[in-house]
Amino acid sequence: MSDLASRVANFLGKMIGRGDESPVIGKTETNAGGEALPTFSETTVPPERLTHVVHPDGRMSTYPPPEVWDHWREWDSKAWPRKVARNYTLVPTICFNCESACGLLAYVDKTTYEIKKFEGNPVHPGSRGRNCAKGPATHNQIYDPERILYPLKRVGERGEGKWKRVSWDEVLEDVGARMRESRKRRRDGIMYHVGRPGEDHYTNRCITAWGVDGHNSHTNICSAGARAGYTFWAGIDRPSPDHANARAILLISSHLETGHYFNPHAQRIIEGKLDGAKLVTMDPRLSNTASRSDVWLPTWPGSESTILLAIASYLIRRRTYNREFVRRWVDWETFMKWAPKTPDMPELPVGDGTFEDFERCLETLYGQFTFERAAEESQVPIERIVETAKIVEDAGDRLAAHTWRSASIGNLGGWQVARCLFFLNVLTGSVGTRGGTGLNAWNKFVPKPFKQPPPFNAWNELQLPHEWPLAFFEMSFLLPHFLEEERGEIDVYFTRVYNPMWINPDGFMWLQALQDEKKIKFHVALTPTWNESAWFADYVLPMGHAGERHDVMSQETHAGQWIGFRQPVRRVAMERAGKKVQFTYEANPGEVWEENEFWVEVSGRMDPDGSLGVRQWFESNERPGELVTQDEYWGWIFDHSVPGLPEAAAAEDLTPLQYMRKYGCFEVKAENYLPYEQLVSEGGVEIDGVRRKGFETPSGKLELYSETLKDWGWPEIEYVLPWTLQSHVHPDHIARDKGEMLLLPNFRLPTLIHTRSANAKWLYEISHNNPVWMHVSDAQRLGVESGDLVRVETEIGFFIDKVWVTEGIKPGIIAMSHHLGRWRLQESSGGSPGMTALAKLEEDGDEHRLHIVKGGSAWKTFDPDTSRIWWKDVGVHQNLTHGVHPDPISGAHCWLQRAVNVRKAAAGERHGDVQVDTRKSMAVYRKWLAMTRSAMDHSPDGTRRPYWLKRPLKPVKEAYRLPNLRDDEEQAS
Amino acid sequence: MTQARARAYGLLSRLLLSGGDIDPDMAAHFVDGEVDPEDAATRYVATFDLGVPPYASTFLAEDGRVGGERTTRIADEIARDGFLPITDEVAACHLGVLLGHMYALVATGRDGRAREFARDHIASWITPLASAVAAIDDGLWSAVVAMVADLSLDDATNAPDGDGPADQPPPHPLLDDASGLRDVAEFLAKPARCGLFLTDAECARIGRAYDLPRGFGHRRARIETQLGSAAEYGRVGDLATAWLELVDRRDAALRETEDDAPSLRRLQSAWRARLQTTREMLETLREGARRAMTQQAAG
Repeated sequence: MSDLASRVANFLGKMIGRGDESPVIGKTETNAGGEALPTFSETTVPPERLTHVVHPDGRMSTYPPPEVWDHWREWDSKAWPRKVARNYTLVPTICFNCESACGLLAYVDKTTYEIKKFEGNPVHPGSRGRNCAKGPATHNQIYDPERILYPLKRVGERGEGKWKRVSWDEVLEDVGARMRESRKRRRDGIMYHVGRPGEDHYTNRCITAWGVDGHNSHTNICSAGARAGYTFWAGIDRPSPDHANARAILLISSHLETGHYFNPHAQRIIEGKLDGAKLVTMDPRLSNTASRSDVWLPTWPGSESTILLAIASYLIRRRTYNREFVRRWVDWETFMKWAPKTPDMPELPVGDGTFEDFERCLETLYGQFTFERAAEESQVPIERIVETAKIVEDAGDRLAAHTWRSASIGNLGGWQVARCLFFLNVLTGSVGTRGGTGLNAWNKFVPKPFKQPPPFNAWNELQLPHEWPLAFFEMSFLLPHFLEEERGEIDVYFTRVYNPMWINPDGFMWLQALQDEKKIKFHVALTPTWNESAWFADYVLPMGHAGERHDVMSQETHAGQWIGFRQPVRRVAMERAGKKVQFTYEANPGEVWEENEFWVEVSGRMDPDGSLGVRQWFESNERPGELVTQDEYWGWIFDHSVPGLPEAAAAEDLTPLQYMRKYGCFEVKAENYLPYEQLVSEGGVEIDGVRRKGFETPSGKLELYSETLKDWGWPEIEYVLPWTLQSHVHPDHIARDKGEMLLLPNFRLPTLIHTRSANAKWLYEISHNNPVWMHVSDAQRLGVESGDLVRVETEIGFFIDKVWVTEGIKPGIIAMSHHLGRWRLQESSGGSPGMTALAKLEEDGDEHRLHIVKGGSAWKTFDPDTSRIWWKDVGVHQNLTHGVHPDPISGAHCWLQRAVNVRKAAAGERHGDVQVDTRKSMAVYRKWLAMTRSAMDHSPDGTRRPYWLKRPLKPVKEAYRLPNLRDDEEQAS
Repeated sequence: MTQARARAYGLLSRLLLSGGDIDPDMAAHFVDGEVDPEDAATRYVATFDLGVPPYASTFLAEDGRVGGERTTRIADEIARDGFLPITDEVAACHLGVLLGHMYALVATGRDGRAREFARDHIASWITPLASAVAAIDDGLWSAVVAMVADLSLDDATNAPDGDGPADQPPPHPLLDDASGLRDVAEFLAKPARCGLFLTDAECARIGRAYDLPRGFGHRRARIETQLGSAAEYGRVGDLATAWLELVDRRDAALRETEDDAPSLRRLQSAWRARLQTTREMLETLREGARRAMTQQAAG
């Protein structure tokens, strides 16, 4: 041994016994930090100049002009007063923190490929350069110290929290093999359960290619009620108001317009208001939107339909509705045919069945909905309702109206709220007009996919069981209850950006299901963050945030069409610099991947020799036999499926893919009004002797009377027509004199986004707790003040939370935001210590307890901000205590809860503690199940569901046949 | 052993970034007997803050300045390796930062990259630094830097040739007839040209020996002052001789390193070639001074 070697060996020998040195310099990985970037020299070169954009509301912003996005230079603000130049390549992408698909611009450092920040993309037609707080906070999520960076495989018992790092290749082999085995045996064994899709078509195409009925979504805890209400009118399940040009804006609740979800709407509402529009908001809570409204209607939940029908009655009585529009576009003939035969229908003046007779029938029918009745049921002063009616009347065909969650998802029969709201659009003729309310299919652009596989021949009863033939869509939140009833089991369960145990009601039922390896045999969590459900997975696979993945996305932000392109921005920056990247995980932090490449590769492993018929749909057009790349896939889409894009690209001497990589979006149509009036030569509907495109209902017109509901077992007046349905939280069902209250558990905060907020420090600093809102009078009755603990008992359990006493909530109602209350089971894993509480799960038979050991706390990482966490209260996980309330028609979980007892917490009751009895869970489930009318008993044609109703993935028609009938036929043959 | 090596780099990094505020337990691995923290802190300031700045750019950059192209290059490489240098107080080319990065590379099993980094950014200048430090401190800090030299040379031993000083040194200024004392001072102030870091302590000692002022201002200005004073008082020959002794001492240290790590001979040869150029310049200077003295005596 040389002298040098022996000196070194001697020194290293001393080090063996020494403890590990704490991180010194640069121990942190690239996902860590982002702020402590390398030193740069001073420069004399000035930064690039910003371009000024004047917004429609008159405000002005500055942005980097697109022509310098490839070589953007600005001075490093942290180096001030030195003038240190930083060179960036700006890569556009699409936000992934809600479904609005706003444009983001990533500033990628040309030297390090680190992302400095995310700002707005000024050329994006929907968001127009402006973002809510969640857009820039994408940076927090990417550089989150607690991020999952590598694929993890469970090595202990499920939920034990023992993981080992594995390679992507190992994951692909194992998952692909399990999918293959399941697919060989059955077509309903693989389930993809998506929380946040954040993309249009790609994954649905993959599931179709697998040939399984495997799409499950979160829709029934979100928008099912509104979807049903709009669909029964028009065949399209979502509204698209043109707020900017409206004369009146009528909102049921506020969460979209406050910016949780649809910052583009918020912008346009302000523009509309600046242009003179009146804003009316129905919400029992004084939300941000309500506080800025011209009229606030603090309705008792479930009474919204009564107010809407009182306004409708006012228009009908005064004949101030748009008679010509109603005559042409409402299917009043069907009404005249069936309405008189409807059970409990009052005597109608049907006369000769003319339109004028129809008008008289309407007046007779809706005359019972007076302002007095509306005021009494809603507990809102009558003057405000009258004022609203006048505003709607004055708006004419410029009424922009919107409901999505809130009352539609809160109440039993909430779908009728959406239907009654759209009734006002129909009466005012403001359907698809300038300043009116369009439908999302008109304004959301979804391109035709690359190689469309044929529909599958399968029906998964765990998703759309026969009891809910009209559901919108899969009965996803009942999955654990169905598994408990042994309706089936799942071979391969993918959760994707989804935390079902935390976000759904009755979370302890989910806990039982996720732990049971006989029911959920194999659980793969595809997630950008740790979450409570992933803790019980077999694989936890890290997937990218906005700026780390490819997707296309569009939304109905206004009366126009556009398409946005989400991109892995570091990969794009590296490719711009000439570096080769095969898979996106090579460019993302650690080995964070994107689903799109993962699906292609895992599908290839699922069917390596093509014998299952799956592989062909994932092969490249240009390289036969090889799997398709993202460049090839999107290149094809942009070449073939986006009208006008190839021409726009050619004008800049770019390919369509290059154009989308450069700008991140493309405006397909600047304006899209009255599309149903379009003349067609085939299909459509004849209006006054002229064939027009019409609507997507069986009649092609707007269906006031729903034959579908009549035919499928719901013939009563309150179902076949826009009507009121008594909510499960109607005042008759809340014994306030016995201390019962209504718990409104699902309002949103504009700065948070479910599970992923807890990985964004800026967002959590703004909002991190969810106290119980309580009116002053109720607080006095209970003897509590702000900050005191209260115990809220529901049908299945109770939780303890702090109270916030306010005038901004209706007496008798308590309200909580549903974003907060995240927890983890290990001190150093499973969530951020500053944003989740350390918890302990306790089980005693059917009794489950969540006991909070420690609230949020500061912790040390590479990021100095984690040691600056100043809050402890990270909210309470109230959803665990919610019994499931599946609406018998829409299938929506009716979120509003009957709080059977609310009182000041006793000694020993601790903040955040939750207790639930899952025997009661099943009892509540069965009570609601009993309200359903099964397709087995009511299907008019032996099918499971009306074929014309949407499903995210439609199987072949044959799969719609109910199984018993098919068996009978087989026996007969 | 990988863990021990990572810990070693971590420990050395912490010591060098400590600003002298050390835990005596950390120092015990380098010197016998108890270390007085106060004394260690004082010596740290004398050695690094006032003596020889432990920055790669000081030795390798043509202009000898920190924060230029060499600093940026190192910062970029660290970032490309997936790490983020914390550079709030020191530049990325500080020896403590470089050792911290070695810690990270070794700890994460990237041995090949660690060897390459050690060769390019530590071994390539550590010997001149170690000699300069040894000229100032004979206790903890010289032992620490000597250990850094041993470890990094050991790691760099098996690395292929890379990013060290160029084989051929730049010519010395006296080859140009138009050069003056200022050019000589400029040359001696740049380790990348002259091959050694002339510390203030050494200049002071020489000044005391020959009754020359040590000057003030930045280092080049001080060297120039000393040289100008020597010219004024007829001490240039003595000064050149004193500097030549320093060159010989530095050269001996490099020769030793060549024996320790034969595979790094090319690297050390590049430094030795610079010392040889400096030697030639100083001999020319001394010879010039001798002739001048002779002419003065004759005339």
